[in-house]
Amino acid sequence: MMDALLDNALLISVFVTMLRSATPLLLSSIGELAIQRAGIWNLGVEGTMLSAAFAAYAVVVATGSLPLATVAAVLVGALVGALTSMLTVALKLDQFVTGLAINLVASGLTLYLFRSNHAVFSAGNFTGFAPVAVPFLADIPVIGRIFFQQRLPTYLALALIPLAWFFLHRTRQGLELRVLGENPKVLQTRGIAVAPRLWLIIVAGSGLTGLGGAFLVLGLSDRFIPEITAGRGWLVVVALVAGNWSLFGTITAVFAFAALQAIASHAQVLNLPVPYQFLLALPYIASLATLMIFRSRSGQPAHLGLRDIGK
Amino acid sequence: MTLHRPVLRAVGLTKRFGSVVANDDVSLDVAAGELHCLFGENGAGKSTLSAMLHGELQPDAGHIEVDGRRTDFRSPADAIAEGIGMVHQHFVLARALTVIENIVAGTSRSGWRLGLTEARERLSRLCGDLGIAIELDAPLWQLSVGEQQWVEILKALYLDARVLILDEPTAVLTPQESGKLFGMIGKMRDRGLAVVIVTHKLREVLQADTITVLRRGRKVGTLDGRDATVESLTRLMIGGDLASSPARSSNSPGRVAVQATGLMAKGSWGETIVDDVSLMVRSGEIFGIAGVAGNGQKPLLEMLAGIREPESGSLLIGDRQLEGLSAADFMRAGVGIIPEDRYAEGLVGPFSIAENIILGRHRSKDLCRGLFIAGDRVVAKAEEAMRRYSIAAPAINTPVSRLSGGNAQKVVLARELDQASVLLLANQPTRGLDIGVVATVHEELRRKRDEGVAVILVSEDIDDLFDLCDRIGVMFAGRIVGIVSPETTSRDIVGSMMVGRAPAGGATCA
Amino acid sequence: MRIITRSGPSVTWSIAVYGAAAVVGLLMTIVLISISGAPVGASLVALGQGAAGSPASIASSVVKATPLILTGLATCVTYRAGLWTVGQESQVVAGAAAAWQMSLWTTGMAPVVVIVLCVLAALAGGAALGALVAWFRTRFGISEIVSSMMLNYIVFFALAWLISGPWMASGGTASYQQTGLLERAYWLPNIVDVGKMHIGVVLALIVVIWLQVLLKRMPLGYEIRAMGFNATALSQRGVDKRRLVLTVMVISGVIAALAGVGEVFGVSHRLTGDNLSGMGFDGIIIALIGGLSPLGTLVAGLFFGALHNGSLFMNVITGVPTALVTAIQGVVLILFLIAGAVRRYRIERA
Repeated sequence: MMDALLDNALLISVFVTMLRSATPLLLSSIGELAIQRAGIWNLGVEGTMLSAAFAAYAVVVATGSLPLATVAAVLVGALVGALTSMLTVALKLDQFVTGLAINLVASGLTLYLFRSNHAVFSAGNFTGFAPVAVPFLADIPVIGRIFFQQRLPTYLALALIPLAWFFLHRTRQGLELRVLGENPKVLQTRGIAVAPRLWLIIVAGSGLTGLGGAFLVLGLSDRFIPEITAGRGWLVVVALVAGNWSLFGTITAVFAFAALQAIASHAQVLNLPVPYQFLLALPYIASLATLMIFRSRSGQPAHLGLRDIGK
Repeated sequence: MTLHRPVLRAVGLTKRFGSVVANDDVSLDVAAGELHCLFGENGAGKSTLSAMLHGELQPDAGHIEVDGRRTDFRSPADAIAEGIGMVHQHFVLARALTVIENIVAGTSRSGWRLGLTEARERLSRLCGDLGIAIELDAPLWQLSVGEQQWVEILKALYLDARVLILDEPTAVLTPQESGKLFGMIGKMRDRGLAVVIVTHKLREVLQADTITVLRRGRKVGTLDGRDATVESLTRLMIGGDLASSPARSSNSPGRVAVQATGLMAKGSWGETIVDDVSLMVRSGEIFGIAGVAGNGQKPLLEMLAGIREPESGSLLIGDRQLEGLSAADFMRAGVGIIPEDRYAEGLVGPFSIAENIILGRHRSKDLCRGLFIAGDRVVAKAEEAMRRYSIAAPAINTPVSRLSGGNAQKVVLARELDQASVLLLANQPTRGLDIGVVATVHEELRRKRDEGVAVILVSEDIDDLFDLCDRIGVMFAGRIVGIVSPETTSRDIVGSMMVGRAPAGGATCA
Repeated sequence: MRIITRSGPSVTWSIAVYGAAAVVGLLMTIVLISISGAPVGASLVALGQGAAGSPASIASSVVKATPLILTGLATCVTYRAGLWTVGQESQVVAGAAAAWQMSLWTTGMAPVVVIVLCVLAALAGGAALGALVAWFRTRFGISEIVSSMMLNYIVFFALAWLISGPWMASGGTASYQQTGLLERAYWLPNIVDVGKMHIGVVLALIVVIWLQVLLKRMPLGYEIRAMGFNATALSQRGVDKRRLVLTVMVISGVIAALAGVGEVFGVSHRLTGDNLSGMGFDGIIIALIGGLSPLGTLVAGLFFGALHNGSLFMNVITGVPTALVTAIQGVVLILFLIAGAVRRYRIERA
């Protein structure tokens, strides 16, 4: 088994898969990080991704257009964000209950819509994003194969990491977003309306989460099945907590989960002496273990999850 | 000094909340370069008035003028645009962010990029003008309370405030920090700023150029600071003369009720917050604990109530050795506690008065029948408490979250006074209450003492402690730095012990 | 016009708001049915007939509602305590799986003994999973939301492994894995001879009444409600919070496990990869719609249980997928949440 693991081609394949599996998690976790750093304990990631994945699927089957499908997914993600905003910001409902309700309604509606149009959907075949080799860089041995023969959204997700950092820490809007999560009254006492900002952040963040959902259909599997998210939305939440709400901590956790998923998907080749189901469960086991080890909550936004948001 | 024309003017401001008139036809003039005091007791309408002056509330009648122009503040942003700055009593700051981030957040000076160079220059100039030094890149949680207040002041001045309103600015400061604050205010005044201070402390009022006194929502007078005296202000404030404070205990203290030795507690970061505290309190005695907030009073009381487990030390209450036991064991030993924050720690908001009265005793035999809580017994107990403490509420099933602060505190009192047969702990039991309820609380503490219960009272108000206590322990940096008798010690000595300066003799360990 | 927060809820306004939510829910149902291309009227009639058209269909609706009521009650007890677990799903499975293992160990013993031991094993399984979540929270400070969700996935894969390996029936295939059929003697006895009215139905009713009394009248229920509102005040008044968290999680695990063992030993008589799935989440929805009160949960559980049952008949008659009811549940939940919030406001002419 160990010699199989050390096999060069296999190792490269595992890394390629890791980046590919990391893509939806990266996109969604950056969107979710923006929302949580603004103080909204949004647990509807799973439902947002699932709705967007279904939208991407429906549009790609109907039109065959990948760009249209991607846009549809982002829009549906943003729409779910608008619903979240209405419930948490305007109606000030409990944020946990809201997120849970979003997940449940997304799960029920996508399942029903998928089943009720089964004939249409089962006929529609499509090809998702194809790998795009970056000129020159793709020719670098090993590194080129791993990093520069990926799909477009993967490049986007990787590029978003430094951009997100720059936004949070080097722009005025980013500072104000962080202030919202720590103490929204700071902005309120300066006469800034908090609610419209939260709406904007939740809608935009959910749109990005929706993009992550689209990749599940268009970049990972080229098909839709009910519950295709399979807990990835929850892994995103875990990544934020384990990463102590810092961008780089979160990204690190995301890559760790993606690595486990990559290993699981190579289980047959690797011929590991454990049941296949154990490997599938590994990211979830690992996430609990991570939370048991990394217990610092010092980075948690002080106002996270509180309902007195203000106007 | 010369006073200039009014920069801020309130004309006939009236504000109603339902049937309550919080401000009734209040007018005042604030001139550039003056220190103006809004004076009155709790509930006199000072906060409502200052909220209207900086645009947080809108008057139902009357208007505000700035530089002689009539304005209409619809939000704090309008007031800020007119140069009115506000420093709230409870600071509005983001603790995880740095000083400079707190100051520039929500201002549009810097464009979309967070270019802080220009802000840095402006702020260091401002600090120089005020005579303060502050690390702009320090995260806020590292700052002392006094420094956090500087940040609040800088926030206002950064936006070119010409009028600065400070709500109860010394409530959380040490005497030294208060002195420094008034120094800063002096410098601002010299530079032509108008400073409005909202306060109920006589000592501060006397430093003002102009004093506006409020009582029950109405303005009862405007005085020139030079003419005001303690007596004239007091009369205006309460509409009569102060009753002289009642005498301390006449009966001599009894046997030892609490014997604590070497109590230690650590905070959430592992820092020592209570450091080797030993104390002994007898039954029939009120033992005061003086100190600036955050010097270990709260964790000390929590250990005495069994809510927090000491790192080390021993604790004898009544005749039982209790260290390491649970809060339930402390309750069985006869310990009651009136917590600092009644809503967060003492009451269950959505629960009724009756349900709150039985909190912690809901399993006791006299309230239960078999497996069930006996509704009729609970009702009887709650009705008795409402009568005994004259709790004003529609019914015993009214949720306590709908009660006024004073009535909510009476619910806590009713429960805890009944609970405390050996030791009563009270952490700032009168904070934020009207004068009537304050008197009730003090009376009940004395009554408990006379019944032979040991009372430990934590307060930041030295006057209260001197009125009530038989002995006063002063806490600083987690230690009891001295125990004094109010009969033989002056308030100034206690004040200097509170900031860590050893008393010049006189204080003895009792 | 301006919006004002009400000081107290008004009954007529509440009825109007919830009524409007119900009407919108019905309209959404009609829209969803027409999306599938099926005739709306006929589908609704079939749904109603399937749910309550005959004594047999009513009985089978009640059987269908039973596990939902139980997982709903498991939700009530935790959410009232402020413990936001989503682990009902895995507690159901843990209960069923523990009972199954017990049935393998006890094969050959007297049926009464086997059934009692299996039910006890189920309770232990659910309790263990509940206790695990409590331990994660009190020992490691891990939010019960996150830990229970992770455990759902872990338990799901564990079950998949069990039924594809150690417990796989000889007739099972790689694509549809399941255990063999439980021996007839070990099935939960029926209370009346209609459909599958097994004894679990009575147990569920008993739990409804017990939980209602517990929350309203007993010291433990008082502590549960107090912890939900203000855990600090409660623990400062001498109640051990860790023990209470553990107690609540164990109670919830036990109740959810009852749903699992009832379903496997009373209805399907075998474990498959999907005959238990969704029950936990359905229970959460039902409890929230039922206002987190045991009686409300009973009513909501019966209603949606009947719809789930009716949807089978509707699917046969007009071809609308049974997932319609899952979708409606979610929609109604959102509508009721909105209604609950709107109920607190009133609009006034300025």
